[in-house]
Amino acid sequence: MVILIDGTNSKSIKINVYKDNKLFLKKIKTNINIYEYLDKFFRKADFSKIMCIGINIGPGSFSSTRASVAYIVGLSFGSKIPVIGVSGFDILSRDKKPLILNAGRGRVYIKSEDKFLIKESSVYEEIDDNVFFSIIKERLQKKQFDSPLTLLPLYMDDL
Amino acid sequence: MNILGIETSCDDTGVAIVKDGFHIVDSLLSSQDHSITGGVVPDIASRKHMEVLPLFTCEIIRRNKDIKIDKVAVVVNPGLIPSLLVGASFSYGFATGIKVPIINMNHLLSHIYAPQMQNPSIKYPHISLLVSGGHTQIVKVLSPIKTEIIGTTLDDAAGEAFDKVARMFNLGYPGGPVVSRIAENGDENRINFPRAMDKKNNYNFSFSGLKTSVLYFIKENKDNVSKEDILASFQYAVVDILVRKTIMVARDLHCNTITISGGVAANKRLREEFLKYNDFEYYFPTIDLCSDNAITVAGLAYHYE
Repeated sequence: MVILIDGTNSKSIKINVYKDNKLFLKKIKTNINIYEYLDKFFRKADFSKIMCIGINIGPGSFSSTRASVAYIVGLSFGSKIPVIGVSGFDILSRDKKPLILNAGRGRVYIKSEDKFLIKESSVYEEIDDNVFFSIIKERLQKKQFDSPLTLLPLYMDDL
Repeated sequence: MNILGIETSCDDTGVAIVKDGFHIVDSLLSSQDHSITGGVVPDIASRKHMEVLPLFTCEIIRRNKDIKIDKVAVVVNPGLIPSLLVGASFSYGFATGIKVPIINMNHLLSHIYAPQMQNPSIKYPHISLLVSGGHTQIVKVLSPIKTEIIGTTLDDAAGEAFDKVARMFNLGYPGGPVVSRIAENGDENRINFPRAMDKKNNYNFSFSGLKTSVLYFIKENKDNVSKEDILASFQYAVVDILVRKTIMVARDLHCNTITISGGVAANKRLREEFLKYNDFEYYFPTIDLCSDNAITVAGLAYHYE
């Protein structure tokens, strides 16, 4: 079982559970306390069946990204379940979509080696769950895990 | 019972293991330097907690491999929300990871517990003055986990007033210890700064007027009165009202025991002034338990079922 967590959207938290390479369970919850919700989910989980947890480390909402990453880091360290952190940029660039993410307040995140003129925009790109899962699956097969002791959210001003 | 306590309510990252509520097994504490910004920036503090907390938890577990953690206790309020969020989120994940219960803790009760933890035979009920950079309260302590608020500040905390007055003289942050050190060489009776809400049966505090009074005094008298005298007089105005109100509460509620906690409890002048009222029994924590820490969090958690 592989579990993917995306808490980068300030309005909702997403949990996708994959079994035998297929999406088995999808949960999206809005306007909740993130760590309490994740805790309710994982307290019921059978850790022996979880091969790894993939977490979207951002960019996104500072608070919700940090809460979801911090929770998964604590869980991974305590349970020894491997964790893989992936950025929204990596997921989108894999799918060859334009590297533009909604930063809220009429702004966008842009990743590019060329110079971009950042404009007011209403562009919004939804993370493709299947692309997210395929990245996690690849890294799982190569055992490219992240250390829960050093996994951090991706902050906009670090870009 | 061994409890792992976690504290991230402001800019100190603390982890500690305490056995049976009183015996300190181990502790780690990291303080951040916010002097460059003149105060704590919540987002920066939160980022630092994300970096430090997992490493500290790993280290304390490694150092105490033979200790079984029975519960995890984490401060969830009050404090800076970005900072609290990191501590709470990590702690919930970690507790679930090691399959132990999690206990939500109150930062203020953890401070108030400090003198109780270091003096297990303390009597209840007693009066506690909690005085720090973020909080100023007088509470009646009925048990380690049960208190009644008797008085509180209506604006600035006492420690906050120290920090802001320190900034008026460019003394850096945190300002409390520097103000106290300079005040030692001043005449605390030189200026009679106002003591707000200084009426019988008024158990609340207010320090913003005092702070403003100091600001205006400096503007008008900077060349006539020394910095040492201004700071000594300011410090005494704070200490005087803190002590007299606490004594008033203790007398009105017929409690002979008084504890003092929080960062300002480390202030030497405050301790001296209390001891002038020698018809009470006083308990001060050691200096290391005056500031934010995870030791009292882990200790207090023991008393919750």
